Amino acid sequence: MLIARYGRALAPALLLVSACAAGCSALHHAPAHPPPPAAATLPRPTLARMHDARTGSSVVLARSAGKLLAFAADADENTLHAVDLDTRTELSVTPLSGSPSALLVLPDGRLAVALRDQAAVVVLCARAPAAPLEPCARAGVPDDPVGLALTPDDGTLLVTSGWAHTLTALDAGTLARRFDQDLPREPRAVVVSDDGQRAFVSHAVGGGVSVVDLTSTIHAIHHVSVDGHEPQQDAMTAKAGDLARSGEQGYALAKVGPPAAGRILAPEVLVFSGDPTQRSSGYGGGESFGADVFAVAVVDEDAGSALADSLTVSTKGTDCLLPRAAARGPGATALVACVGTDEVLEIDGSASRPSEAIQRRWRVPAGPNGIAVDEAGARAVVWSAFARAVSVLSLAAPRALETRAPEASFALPRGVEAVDPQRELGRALFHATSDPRIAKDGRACASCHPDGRDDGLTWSTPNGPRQTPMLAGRLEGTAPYAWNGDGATLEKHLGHTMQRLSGSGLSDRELAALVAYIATMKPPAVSRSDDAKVARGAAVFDSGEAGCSECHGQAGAEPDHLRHDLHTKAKGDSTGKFDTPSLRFVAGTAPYFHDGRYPTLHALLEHTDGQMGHTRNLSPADLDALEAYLRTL
Amino acid sequence: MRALARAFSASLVALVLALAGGARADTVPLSALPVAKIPRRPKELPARPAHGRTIAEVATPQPAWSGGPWVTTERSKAPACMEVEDPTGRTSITSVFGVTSELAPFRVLRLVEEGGKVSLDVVDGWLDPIGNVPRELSHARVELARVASSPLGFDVYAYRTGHEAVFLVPSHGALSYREPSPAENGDGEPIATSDCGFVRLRLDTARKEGASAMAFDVSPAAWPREDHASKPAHVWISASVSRVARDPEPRLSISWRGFER
Repeated sequence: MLIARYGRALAPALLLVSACAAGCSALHHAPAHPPPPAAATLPRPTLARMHDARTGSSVVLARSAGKLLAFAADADENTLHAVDLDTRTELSVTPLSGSPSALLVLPDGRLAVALRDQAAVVVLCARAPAAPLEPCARAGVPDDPVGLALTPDDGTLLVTSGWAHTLTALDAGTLARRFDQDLPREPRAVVVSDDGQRAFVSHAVGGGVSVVDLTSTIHAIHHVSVDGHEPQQDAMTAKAGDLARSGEQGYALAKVGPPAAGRILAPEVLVFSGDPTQRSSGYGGGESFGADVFAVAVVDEDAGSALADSLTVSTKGTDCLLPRAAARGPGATALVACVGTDEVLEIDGSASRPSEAIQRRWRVPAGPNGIAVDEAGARAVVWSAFARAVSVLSLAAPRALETRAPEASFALPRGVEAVDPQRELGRALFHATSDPRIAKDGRACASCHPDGRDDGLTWSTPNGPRQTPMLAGRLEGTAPYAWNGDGATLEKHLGHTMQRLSGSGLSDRELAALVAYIATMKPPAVSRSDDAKVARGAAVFDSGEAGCSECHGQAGAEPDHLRHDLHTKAKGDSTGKFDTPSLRFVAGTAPYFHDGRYPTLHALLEHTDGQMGHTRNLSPADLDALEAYLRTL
Repeated sequence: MRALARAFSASLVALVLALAGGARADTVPLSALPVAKIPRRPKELPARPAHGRTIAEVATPQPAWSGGPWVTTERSKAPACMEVEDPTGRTSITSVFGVTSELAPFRVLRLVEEGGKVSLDVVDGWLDPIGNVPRELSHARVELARVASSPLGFDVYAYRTGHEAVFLVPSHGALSYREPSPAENGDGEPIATSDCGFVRLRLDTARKEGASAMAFDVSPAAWPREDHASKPAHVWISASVSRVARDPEPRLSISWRGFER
């Protein structure tokens, strides 16, 4: 019965099955028991990717046994959901050994999954229709893998690692590591040029798209700036000027199809963080400037540069202040998923300023962070991670004035973990853009703290310049809060922050929920190193000579809860006394100091002698060891 | 040869119209726009100006507070705008214009719909002091391509001239718009207003960095069309031109966006 049912359905995919059988058998572990004779004659169910989908996402489509399946990465429960899109039923739940961030169907029918907290890419194979997938290969990659892509020849699987700021190339068949390439901070999405010669990588912070040469052994990096500018005109002198804006929130990339091929769209937010030498009424330059503006950088795939007009701010749109996913849409369009507004936008990828060329919009369940497109079926599938829901959007529907509802939307049943409603509420609040209770100009907590980390910016504030601190995994036991230690509790500090953002404020229940969420945000899973250099650095850190642990405590995680005047008051600072910060995860939070004056840890250690411990008398080797140790905290 | 060119031009316009009718993003190669030859603006009147036709869309009110002659366009007759030139030679459109001298020429741009086709008439005129009558000096007609259309009830037309792609957006009411300043004026993008029945958006197709313009608060003459039940509060139309290395020529994009009441 089973044979008849699936044998027929699989017949069209026999060629792919054969290919996969060859590829998979070489990789997966030998079965403990020989398969029964009947099964040996069965073609093994496999996955056929859609079209030429070569970019990873938290949701991907694949055909199997005549069905169109959506696979969704559930980072809350560490599972992979397989959903039959035609019957809208969940076929299977595959438990994973870690938190999935990106999925990609490999050309041989296996499914690659980046496990963010495992520093690994696991490859899953389908053994039986409607059954959970099984791991058949695994490769270690640098910490915090977040993005996947295949080269056009399907030979190389590229992996971006956020915390480790690395692009890794793996053999797509064997998963053998070909190279690691260091990148600027917090890489996220990766796409490959049509000719396979360059990889384009977006960055959650830092205003750039990295272009990595894949052809030579050196893998040179070219930095494409996606920082923005806002034309200004002085009302008195009528002189033209420019306000510089930093490109942030680069989580997604989408290649545009014909007739506008050759363009890569990089949704982002252009941020004006104010003049750090001047105090402001809030965070940034004040209400009239609008700190965050939605933009979509147009990167010329062949020229390796961005169209300047796409980085120009004029109408200050706030349509999508937390863009988290993008995909190529029909024709010259692209789809962008917006966490915070819980919408998907269709934008014209042929426009010079695509953020002003929004064609259609759909409202979807909370937390959309993945899009996959079924071009033949004229539909898009969206994974809403917070609501744990799959939505189907009709791309054939005519344009309309109103925001549309999905054609279908279905939440997946919870697994073993019970829902914590307080944490769910806190997560929704943390990511809520355009919520006047939090910020008048539409900013969310996640705007400055993407993934609970930091934006790498120094903001003009009423107290002076303030570098954004990382939150995830860094708050426990560190009261008081804020650089000046003004907030005795996190609730008080958050309330004060919302006041500065001209928000009307949250209720006590909501504040408590927000604190509950922030306290449980997942920090990056960092591989610890036990080598001798790090051990030496730990000894230096704890030594009386350097004096680091005197204030920052054991392993930098137990600060003394005191304010110190380090004689480092900057222009604009209202006071020179600063609360001792935690040093947990300090390696990934450049720039350093309350005003971001030091671009690297090394510069900080070199230049703060006498103000904050003593480093002048350390040998170069000890200084190097201390830095190595700090990078492990 | 000329007939061939005309046939080619007609087929390009047909292509543009086909694109405009679709539901997708309206992306058009520059060569799909008809080429317009806009006559040079006369700097001054000839010694004996011809007694041409009167310009029906132009009125010549004499407000009590005004010392000189004024010409205004009357939108009730047809979408028509005065084109005025600033000392730098940059032109803009307006519904009212103070003629610096009774013998100074002026220019009127009007949208004309005939036989289902929309054209732009470029009319140079002068103010005949006998009876204060606005009269035609010369008249040229520019063929337009409809590059975007919507069931909401508006159309966008365009032509190209020299390096410029020019978009015309009819609007029943006053509207504001933004277009890039010429390079010599810096990168400012000032917001201007128009209340003469349409707005003109000009984009320099030679700009390597791309260029974009936007018309805000566009209000079609008739709300709603039968196939759309609700009336939006605002419609924004954005037009842009850009070119990446792979594009054989600059690419135009026209988008519209409605805001619900």
